[in-house]
Amino acid sequence: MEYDREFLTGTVGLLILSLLNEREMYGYELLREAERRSSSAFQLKEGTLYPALHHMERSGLLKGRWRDSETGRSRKYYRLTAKGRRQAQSKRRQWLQISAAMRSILGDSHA
Amino acid sequence: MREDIDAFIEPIVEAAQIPSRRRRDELRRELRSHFEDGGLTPEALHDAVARFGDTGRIGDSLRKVYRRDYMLFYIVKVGACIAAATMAAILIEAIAGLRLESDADAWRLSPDFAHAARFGVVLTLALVAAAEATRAPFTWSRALLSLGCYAIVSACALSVNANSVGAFVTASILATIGVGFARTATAWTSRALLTLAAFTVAEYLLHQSLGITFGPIRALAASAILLMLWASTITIVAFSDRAFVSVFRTT
Repeated sequence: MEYDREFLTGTVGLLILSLLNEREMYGYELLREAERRSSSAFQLKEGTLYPALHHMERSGLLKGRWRDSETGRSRKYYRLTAKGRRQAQSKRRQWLQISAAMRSILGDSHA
Repeated sequence: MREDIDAFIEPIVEAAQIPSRRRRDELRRELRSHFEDGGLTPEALHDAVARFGDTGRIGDSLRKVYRRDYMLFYIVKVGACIAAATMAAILIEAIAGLRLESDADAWRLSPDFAHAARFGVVLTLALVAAAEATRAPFTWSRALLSLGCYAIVSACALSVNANSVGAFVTASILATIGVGFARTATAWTSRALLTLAAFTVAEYLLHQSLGITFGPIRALAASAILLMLWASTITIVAFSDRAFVSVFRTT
C-alpha cells in the first residue's frame, strides 16, 4: 500500500531505534526486518535509510562498526548507544500516546 | 557488475560533500555492500536500484548530515587562502619598498613600507571577500556572508583606527574593479592590462578627490605594485578553490 509521505515522516527514526534496540544490524538487514515485521507495509525508498543512519550516528544515538558476517562479507553494523537507548524509549512512549489519542479520535472501528 | 554498482553510488558519495576521505570510503563501502546484499545478477541489481530511490535526493540528504564538516573545511580553506595571500602581499610590498642607501651601501625598507603593507593586507582581504562573494555558482547566502565578514573586519579595524576608513574605501573600490576584470576578460595579458589601466585611473581619481597630489606616473607606478598583489591573490584564490573541489573528488 502507498502511504502518504506526511504520515511516514519521522517514523524512519523510530523504526531504526526500535529495531536496533533488540540487536545490532546492518542497513540491508534493517530494511528486510522492517519489511518482514510490517508484512511489507513499510516499503520505503531504501536509500533514505542511510542518511538517517549517518545522522543518528553523528548525533551519538548509534555506533557503527565494521565486522565480517557469517558469510565472510564485511558489513557496517549499527548498535544503540546509551543515549540512543534513552531516545528509543522516549520515542516509543510518544508514539504510543499519539497513536492511542488518534485511535480515540478516529474510533476503534477505524483503527 | 561491481562497475555498475560503483557507477551508481559514486554520484551519491560526491553529492554528499564529505571532506574526510575515510568517511567517504566508508560510505562507498557501505552502499556497495547494500547492493551486494541485494544480489549480483543484472535483474537483482536493477530491482535494488529501483528500490533505492533518487540518487540526487539521497546525496542531498547526506550533504545535510555532513554540512557542519563541510562548513568547517570551507572556513579553513578561506582562512588558509587569506593567510597565504596576506603573506604574499607583505612580501610584494617589502620588495617594492626596498631602497638601496647610497651612503651606507645597504638595502633598507622605505619609510612608507608599514603604510603600504597595511593597505596591501586590506586590499587582499577585500579581494578574497569579493572573490568568495562572486564565486560560481553564485549564491546569495555566500555573497552576503563574505561581504558581511568583510564589513565586520572593516568595522573592527575602524574602531581601532578611525583613520583607516580611506584604506578600506579604496581597497573596496579596487577589489570590485579587480574581481570584475578577473571574471570578464579571458586572456591573462588583456586581464592584467585592463586591470592595470583601471587601477591607475581609480588611484588617480581617488587621490584627486581627496586633494592629494598624485600624478598619473605615480598612480601608474603604485598600480603596478597593486597589480602584482591582485595577481598573487587571485592566483592563490583559484589554487585554493581547485584544491578544495578536488578534495571531494578523491577516491
